[in-house]
Amino acid sequence: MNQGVLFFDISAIGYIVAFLGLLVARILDRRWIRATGIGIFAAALLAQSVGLCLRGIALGGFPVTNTYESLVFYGWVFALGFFALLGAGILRGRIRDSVGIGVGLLVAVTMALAGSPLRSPEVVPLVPALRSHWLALHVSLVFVGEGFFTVAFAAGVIYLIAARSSKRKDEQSELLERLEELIYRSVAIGFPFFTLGGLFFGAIWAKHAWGRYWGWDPKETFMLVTWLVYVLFLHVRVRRGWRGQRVVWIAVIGFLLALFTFAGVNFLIRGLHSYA
Amino acid sequence: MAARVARWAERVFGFLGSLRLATFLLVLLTLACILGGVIPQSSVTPNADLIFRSYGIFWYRLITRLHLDDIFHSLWFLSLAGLFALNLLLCTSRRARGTVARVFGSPRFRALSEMDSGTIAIPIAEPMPDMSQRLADAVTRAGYRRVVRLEGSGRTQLVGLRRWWGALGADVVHVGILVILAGAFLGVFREEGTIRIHELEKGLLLPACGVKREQGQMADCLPFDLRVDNFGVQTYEDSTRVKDYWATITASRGGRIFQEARISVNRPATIRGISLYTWRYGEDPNAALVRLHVVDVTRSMVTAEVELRVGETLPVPGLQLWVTVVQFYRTFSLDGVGNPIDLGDVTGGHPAVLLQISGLDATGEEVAYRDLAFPFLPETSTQPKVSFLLADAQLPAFIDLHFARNAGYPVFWWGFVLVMVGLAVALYVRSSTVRITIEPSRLLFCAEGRGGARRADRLATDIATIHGLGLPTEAEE
Repeated sequence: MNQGVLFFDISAIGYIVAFLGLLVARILDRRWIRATGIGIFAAALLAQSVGLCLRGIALGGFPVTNTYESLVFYGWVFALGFFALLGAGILRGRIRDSVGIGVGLLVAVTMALAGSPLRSPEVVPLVPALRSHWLALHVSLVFVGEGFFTVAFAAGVIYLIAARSSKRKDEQSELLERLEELIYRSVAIGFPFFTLGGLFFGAIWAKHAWGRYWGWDPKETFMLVTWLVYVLFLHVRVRRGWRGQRVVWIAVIGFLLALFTFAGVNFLIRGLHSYA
Repeated sequence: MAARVARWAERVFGFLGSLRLATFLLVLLTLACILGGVIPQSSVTPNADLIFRSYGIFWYRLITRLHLDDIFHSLWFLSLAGLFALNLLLCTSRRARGTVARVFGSPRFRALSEMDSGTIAIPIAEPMPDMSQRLADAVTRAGYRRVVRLEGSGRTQLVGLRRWWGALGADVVHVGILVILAGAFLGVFREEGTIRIHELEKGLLLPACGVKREQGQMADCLPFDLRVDNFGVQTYEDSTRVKDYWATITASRGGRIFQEARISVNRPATIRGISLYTWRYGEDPNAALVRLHVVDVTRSMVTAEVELRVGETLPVPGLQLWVTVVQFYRTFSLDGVGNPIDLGDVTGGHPAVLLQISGLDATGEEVAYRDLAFPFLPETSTQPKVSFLLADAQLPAFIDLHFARNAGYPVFWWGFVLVMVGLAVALYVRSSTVRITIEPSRLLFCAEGRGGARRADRLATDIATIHGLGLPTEAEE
């Protein structure tokens, strides 16, 4: 059973084309190419959504039960996060183009990783511990949080590149200010989702399945590490008033840790979450 | 002297509750958690000690001396966590005074010089008699639910407050984290344990104080007698993949049944404050029933048969020997230094039993030795006349039930609720304040916080339009 794979392949191609389109639009500054790129981006997201629905129906549950499905869902949330910020009017002008390129690239890479021959796209029945409604709540909210962290990361990388460029100072400082505001807003939106899904719903589920809410399993520990880094980000920015590259670096490191928590821990460190 | 001590104490408490220390501790705790996530922890990883030994003596000593093998229970980590809790407590208590005054107290009159930049002015001929009330109504209509009238320097100032409780968010988060830490501390006194029930024990009453425990620190007696009526494993249709494992249990006391329950993975039951979980299932090699053939080596024939469980001792029929099954191996193998090990269920693997044989041999000489028996190979001992073959083995199914009682759980959950409510308020609710000062010849509008100038301008424009006043301009001293 490989439900949804065709749609995932179509969406992967769509994301690559959208990424290239937005990149060309940014270089040539052509509106019609930009509009086409965003249209293809939306179509790819739609195809991916259809694929996820089909897979969910085949599985009889939330399709995040193995690495293949998790990567596909991860990419879907990245793309959704981008469109959510676009719809809310937070992304505009050059920032929208730059973040679109960054997110498009990340989603394309995620889909390519999911499509690698090392990950089986087969629908596999759930192990007993995963047969719980907490799976959907726990994983989806973590990914929603991480979707916004991805936008913050993409904006952070653009910020760090732009901060080193030799463009006009006034133009550059306005761009940097807007990017930094975007990073803060993305983290501020994503952090409560990440906290609720990752730490709290995870703890409630662990209590139901394993009889304890916290056990210092490597996945739990790295989830806490990521959370602490974003706590640091919010504190130094809001309370200590840090601005500029220092605070952007914390957001970038936070996302890299979130990525390691998701993928690195699965492949490098064994634990109770090894099926994830 | 007393003043100096007080000043010194204030500085120490100030530092202990400072954001600077909080930042430093957050970084240290993050690094400690990274170490604990990367280095196998003895509380989580089985055989962690063996892994450290494989690193070499230097790393082994470093890891064990710094307690890096059990970081999260080490004194230095707990001290860091304790210091963090103290920092949070002091910081919260210090902040709370200001927040309470800001949220629940009355605002203070502010002169123009104290106001944020972006103050807007509307010229007026002279204040109307009911102007204060009219403006208060306009401010209320603009969404500022709480309006306070202040007097100062012979002038009236109206302060409109919108979502003023939003300032509580960060403090609620801090209190929530402190409650979670308190719940975690209570968890130190938790009771937990695991009992293993074999197939043959189905339906047997396990008395409250006689339950055998495999591990854990459960109190000597449960508050009830327990009977596991049945247990089993459910597989998916047309598949051998396990879908669930379950047990039906009955709790009673003095013969009076007070609760029956079916527990399975993710569906525990709570009886008299104790939660019961299905923990593990399988076939237990430590309770295997083995059938041994006794072979006369010289005549190459089976002379007798013995059936016994692991740990059991029986006489060998027709001989003056006693045999004990010491251990059963589902798949026999040898480790790096030649010790027998069980590889578990491996396709194509060979089972074996380790036997202890004692008594008198054929010559009447006393013997006592250990021997391995396989399904088809002769035993490997030097015993010349008698050999054992492993004819059959039955592994009884078992289920492990986990018990846990933790007074910290409810505290923990309330902490979660507080943190989430606090986060939502702190990050999503933006409180705002607007001030209108009535001067003899003008009205001054000032809104505090981010986007204040825009909000002040909008309110001033609305009021000027409604009341037919002059155009709003930027205020000057």
